[in-house]
Amino acid sequence: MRSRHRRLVLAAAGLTALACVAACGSSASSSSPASSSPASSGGSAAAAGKPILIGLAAPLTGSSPSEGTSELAIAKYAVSVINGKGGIDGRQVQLVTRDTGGVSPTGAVTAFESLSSDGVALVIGEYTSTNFAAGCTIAMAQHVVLIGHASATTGLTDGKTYCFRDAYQVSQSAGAMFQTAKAMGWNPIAIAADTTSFGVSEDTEFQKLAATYGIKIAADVSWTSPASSLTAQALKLGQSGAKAVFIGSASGPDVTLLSKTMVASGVKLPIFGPGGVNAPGVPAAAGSAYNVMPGVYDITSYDSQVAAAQQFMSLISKETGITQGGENPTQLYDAFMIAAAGLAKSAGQGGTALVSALQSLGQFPTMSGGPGTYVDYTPTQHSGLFGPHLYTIYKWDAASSAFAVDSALSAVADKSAE
Amino acid sequence: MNELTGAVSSSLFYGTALGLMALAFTIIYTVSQVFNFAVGQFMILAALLTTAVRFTGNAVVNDLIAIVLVGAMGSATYLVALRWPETHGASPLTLVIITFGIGIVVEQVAVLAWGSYPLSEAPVLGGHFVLNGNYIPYQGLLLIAVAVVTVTGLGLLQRHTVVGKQLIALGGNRATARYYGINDLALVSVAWAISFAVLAVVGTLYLPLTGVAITTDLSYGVAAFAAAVIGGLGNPAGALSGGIIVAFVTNLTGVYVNPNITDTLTFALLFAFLVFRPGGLTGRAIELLGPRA
Amino acid sequence: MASWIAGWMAREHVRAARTDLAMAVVFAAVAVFTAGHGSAFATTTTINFGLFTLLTASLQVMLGFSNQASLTQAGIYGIGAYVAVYVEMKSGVAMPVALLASLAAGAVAGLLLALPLARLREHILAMGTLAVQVILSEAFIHLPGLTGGVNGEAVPDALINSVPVMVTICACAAGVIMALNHFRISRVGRQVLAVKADETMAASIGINVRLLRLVAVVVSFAVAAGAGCLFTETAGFISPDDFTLTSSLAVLVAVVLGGRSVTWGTLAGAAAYSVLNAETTSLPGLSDLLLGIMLVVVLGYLPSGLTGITLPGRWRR
Repeated sequence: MRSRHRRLVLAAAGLTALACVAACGSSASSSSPASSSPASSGGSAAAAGKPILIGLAAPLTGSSPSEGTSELAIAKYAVSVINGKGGIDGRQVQLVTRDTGGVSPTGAVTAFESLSSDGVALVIGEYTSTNFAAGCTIAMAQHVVLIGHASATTGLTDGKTYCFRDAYQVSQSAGAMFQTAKAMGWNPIAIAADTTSFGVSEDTEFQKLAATYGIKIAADVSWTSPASSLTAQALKLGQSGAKAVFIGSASGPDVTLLSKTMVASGVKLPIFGPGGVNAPGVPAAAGSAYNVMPGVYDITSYDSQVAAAQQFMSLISKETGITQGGENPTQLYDAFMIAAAGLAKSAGQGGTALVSALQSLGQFPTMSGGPGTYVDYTPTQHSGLFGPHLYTIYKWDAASSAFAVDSALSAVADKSAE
Repeated sequence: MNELTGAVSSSLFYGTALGLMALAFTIIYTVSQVFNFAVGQFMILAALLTTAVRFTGNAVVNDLIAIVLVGAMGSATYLVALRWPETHGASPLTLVIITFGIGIVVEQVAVLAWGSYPLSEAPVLGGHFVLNGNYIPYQGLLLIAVAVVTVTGLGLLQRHTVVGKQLIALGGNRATARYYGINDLALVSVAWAISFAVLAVVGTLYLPLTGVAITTDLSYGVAAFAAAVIGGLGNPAGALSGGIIVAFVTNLTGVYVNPNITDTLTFALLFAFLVFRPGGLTGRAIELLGPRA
Repeated sequence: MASWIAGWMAREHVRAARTDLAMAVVFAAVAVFTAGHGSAFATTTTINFGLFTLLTASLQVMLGFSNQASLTQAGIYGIGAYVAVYVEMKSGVAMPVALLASLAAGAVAGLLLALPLARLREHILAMGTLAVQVILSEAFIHLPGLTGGVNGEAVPDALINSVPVMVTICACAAGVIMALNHFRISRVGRQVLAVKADETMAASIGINVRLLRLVAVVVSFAVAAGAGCLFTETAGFISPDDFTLTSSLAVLVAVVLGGRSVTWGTLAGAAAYSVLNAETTSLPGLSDLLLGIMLVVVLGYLPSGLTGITLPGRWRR
């Protein structure tokens, strides 16, 4: 190389090296805390009258855009209800939404950070456990409260003071499924789960709990979502000698494809699962397959026949156009009510004041029932939208081509919590 | 025995669908040297047009309308988005990225218009017969019949008609072909229309067996690319066999070995072909290899 | 004849120095502006932009210099990231060591990949790299022992939203682009470009085509993997969703958008794609729709990318 070249290249390399050393030497606490932004902390007189900002991190684009759209609609409705009651401390609540771009945790982190720099008092989100975990990391780093309404993996909030969940725990529903399987004589069972974080966490829970209930797992098939062919998986399920299939997938298209493939391949097994089996659109899309399968069961904590649930659904369907109920809408709505209650106690402030406020909340009438912000479903604490049962099991009725509550099975499932 | 029958019949149907998509892909590649990245999106768009926009009460008429519409979209896509850059020095890679952009547009429009919930498409031929415990749908047999007719027809067109030969000439050297007076504008537009119509055939005939969801576009698209390359680019029969091979290898391995690796297997297969036999089964892409330095 | 070449080379060096300065100024301005702005969001945005520029530069080495399209960049980025996390977790080493490990991992991946695909060209090569990217994505998901599986890995001691890290990344991006520029006018670089212009001719004058193509891949992957290490420093959390085929496609789009120029093309392409991909509206899906439309429109009317048309056989800055 010519010497002028060499000097320039060395200079550039040296600069880079210097910068690297400087960066490594710095401590981790150089992030800018949320208190530097206008509306969140304060406590000063200037805050009176200014709107309180609540952030929503939702998957408006990416792989679950319909989820994001319905979340946005519910959030807007919840905020209008809060404001209709006079807001918080006389101040109106304003919703700020950021797109997480789907399921990437990087997107979740970016959305959280942009909401934080927008000056929100707290953030409500994220749609998947992975995103929620990523969000918790940022929440702790930035000292901004995060309330998760959909993430159900246990232990995610352990030790994370800024993070709260109002979703029921996956492990409990898995236990309820095994309890039901025992009663139905489904032993061994097979697992069919996709490789999203939801599917993997379901699969892990199923594997963990099977032995406790004395149930063997004959096969465990998986696929990358979204799938264009599930023939191998369906045939493996048929080969396995299992008596029923536990479905660990929340993807409507995948469950539709699996059901149709199972029927076409003559795999006559009942399917049972939380989420995907009754995902939006699936009853219509897979109905023809469901009608000929030996049993299709959906387990959820949400009982669509309870009067309060029907009232809630009719209210939000008028305002938001959403027609399918379920845990997600109600838990998201709850999250906003919980946030409002907390903010009322902390005088509109976020940060540590809000943390103490939320931790001090006792039992209060949420739409989903349950004490405070960490909703822990037990046989005695689950009133409200969630009916007489802790777990509601819906069975597909071929005659009406729809799901209907199966009270007997639901009672059986409840025993798993005792 | 049940599993084998199931695996074989499913593979035949899925393989035919992939093969037809690969065919659509290879037609455009032959004529325009472009990889159409939007094959999955247009395939599903056709199914959405039949299902979500019911033009008439008759499934056959709806399907035909969808095929014509999507075919027309093919020509339109070429004329509006690709013709100008193609004739003004765009590299094939640039054209590929443009088709990628078009795919994004189609996907987003579909989501905005019809949401992303799965839909059920009505088959043209309902019903099935039972073989070894497996339900063999008549719709699937219709798909295979249409595929065979299409491939044969295109092969005949290619070898025995002036139009077909001109299309091949266009693919070889566009400038020379024009010098000889071949109307490349009209011919290439027609080729794109045919390609997209084939995609629409897959969407309308195959997706009743699986359900329709726009989110699966890239899954089908990428599998179709693999099928096209494995079969050998530039050859209609190659495309169809590529699809059949991909379907059979992945399904049979999935059933008898491990179903959790089927996705990886498709691409491992593609990679193996590219390393050992990059021309695919029918060996046409040899000109895209460099000198054995 | 020789003096003409000498004169030309001297002018090229001057031009390169001017570009270096311009690059340094641009990135310094970005870094200063971000640091001044102070918000976490601005810092993250700049960090993401810097990392994306590094990825674009890595693909520029393969595609711009050596005409080898690659859809594997995100997968190699992932390899760099996972190696960095693995190394740091297992042995608690400092960042520079992890960076070296990532660079080495990328280089090894380049060797492993380039050899089997050496005979392929253009579209077929792109398909091969697509296959590798999908296989890598599946591997990231299905090997939880190494990668934490689909739930990802939390990165220990990550410096989230750190301004010094943001400055480092800007400096690295500027440095890599400058290095590319100087490589372009160096002897080896000119040989690489000769191969790109006409492979047979280059081989006939004694240039070792296979070696040069291999070197391009190795360097490209090393840069991508190194960027992956830097990513882990800032992310706090990595998962297979960050390293998908879609991400690789984004890098390819950026290079094609950028056009022929090695320096300004890389920068412009990365910037253009980042802007197009940003959340421009609050209506769901509309941002992606706009991205698609803009891709078609921009490349439709500027088919040689943002940095202009070149005649075959000449290479420009």
